[in-house]
Amino acid sequence: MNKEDRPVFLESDGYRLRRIVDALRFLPFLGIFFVVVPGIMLSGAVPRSLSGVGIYFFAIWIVLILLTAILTRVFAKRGKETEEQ
Amino acid sequence: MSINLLIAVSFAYVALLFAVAFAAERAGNRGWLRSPIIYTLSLSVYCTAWTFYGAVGYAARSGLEFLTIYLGPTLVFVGWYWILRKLVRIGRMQRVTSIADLISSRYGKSNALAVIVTMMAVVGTTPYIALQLQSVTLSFQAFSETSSEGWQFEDLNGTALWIAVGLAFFTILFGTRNLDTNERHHGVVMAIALEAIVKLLALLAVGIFVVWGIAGGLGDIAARMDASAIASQKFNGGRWVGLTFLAATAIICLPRMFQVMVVENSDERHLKTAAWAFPLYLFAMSLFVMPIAVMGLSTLPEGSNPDLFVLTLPLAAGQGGLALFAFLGGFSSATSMVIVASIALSTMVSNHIMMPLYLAYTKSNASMSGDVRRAILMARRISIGAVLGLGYGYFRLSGSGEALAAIGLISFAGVAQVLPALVGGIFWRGATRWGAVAGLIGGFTIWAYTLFLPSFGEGGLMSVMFLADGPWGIHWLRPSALFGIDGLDP
Repeated sequence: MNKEDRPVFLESDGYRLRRIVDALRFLPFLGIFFVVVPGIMLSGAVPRSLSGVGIYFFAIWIVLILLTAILTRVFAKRGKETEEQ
Repeated sequence: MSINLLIAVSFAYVALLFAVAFAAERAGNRGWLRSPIIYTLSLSVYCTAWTFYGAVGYAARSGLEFLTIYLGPTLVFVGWYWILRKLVRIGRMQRVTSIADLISSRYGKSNALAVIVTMMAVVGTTPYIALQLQSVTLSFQAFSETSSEGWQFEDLNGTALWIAVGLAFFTILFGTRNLDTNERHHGVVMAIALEAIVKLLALLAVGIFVVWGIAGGLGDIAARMDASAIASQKFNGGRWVGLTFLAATAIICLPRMFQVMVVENSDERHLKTAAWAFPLYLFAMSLFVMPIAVMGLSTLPEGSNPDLFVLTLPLAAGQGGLALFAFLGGFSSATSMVIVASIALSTMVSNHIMMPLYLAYTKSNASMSGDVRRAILMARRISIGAVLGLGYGYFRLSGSGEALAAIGLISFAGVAQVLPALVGGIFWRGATRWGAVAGLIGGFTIWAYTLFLPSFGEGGLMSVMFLADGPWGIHWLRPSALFGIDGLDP
């Protein structure tokens, strides 16, 4: 194999895997932010539309689930490839 | 809807559960029985009768606050890479059998620590078991009130006793079949997975019926929601954050969650599916809670118990079959919780309290040659009976009029006291045994004084005067406002 064919930086797979792990680690904080902050902001007030607030929380919830599912899938697949090498 | 049919169906359902557990036990460790889906479904023991009936009642009283109980665990699972991954790996590598075992092994196998955690777990779980018994008897009662034959359930305590005995029988049969170093129970897990499906479908069916059968679709529900009494309540941000945190703690520390999540885990990779699938399950469980609560408040007569809306709404609409399905859902959620909790607790009680005592006793008078398996199994069976007996005792003692959610929260707060010791044991090298002991005892004492003992009701274990004025008239020592901190959560 000649030099030019090789990627400039070794271990790009490992690099990607670590960035996915970073994203996974960051996810709960994203979740805490979007769940807790509106809770504090609404505190002491009567929400203008209860159904609206409800829909907001359910929307956040499903987005979190989707993000976790996608990231975990990618992580599991990449993790397996790196292990096999 | 005849009550006899109800009893017959419940028995048939229980028979089915026995059959499933038995078949799974026979099949053993084969393929799909140990799939990530089954693992995820078994995690649903988090959703007890408190979820099934209580969430609607909670929503009818405090609006969207009920969501915190499900958002907390969602955040924990979304962040599985931080804590759950470590827990499961440590649990598998060190063959941990319970949360008491884990904590003690993180502090140099200190049995004193294990005993403390075990005691806390037993005391914290007892109200929760009582709560399950109460919910099943209440749902029986709801049926008998509308029963065409007018046959009344006079003896609620008797019903609860029979349920407790039946559950003890099931748990002893499938929980102590053999001694496995991994403490895994295929049969029980399978039965619980089935119950998980039943309760989810039942709640969804009631929800769909309420939204599109009684009300006129989603728009109508939203309009009713904004017009209802719940909508004019103030949003309590402090409680919102506090409860989210409490629920997040509970999903890690509850003995039964630890049992299904760590001990029964057969493959670490299953966690990667559960990380998104379990939050999805919780999401589906809570989707229709608010509509059911709102419709119950607006269509059912004033003063009906909101904890039973899931049952009484279909009953009031004349949908006997749906109500029966809902009853089975509630029954499933109650029984699966009691079964797993008593297995988890009996493992702890027999390993950390009964066996050390037994070994100390037999060492002195005989040179036993090894086989203590029968003794261990016997200890397990006795502790399962004892745990259920305690739950029944609490049920009798506590004025059973209390709202379901309140008991559940007291229990959550109790087990949450274990978290600092657990996290300290996993992440902090400097944590010491005595630090952990002090923290556990301190937290437990305050919890018992401010939450647990008052839960027996006025005139229970603490007199009315004691609750109102504090011990010896010292006002700032009142249980509900220790050090003058008043106006927080009950």
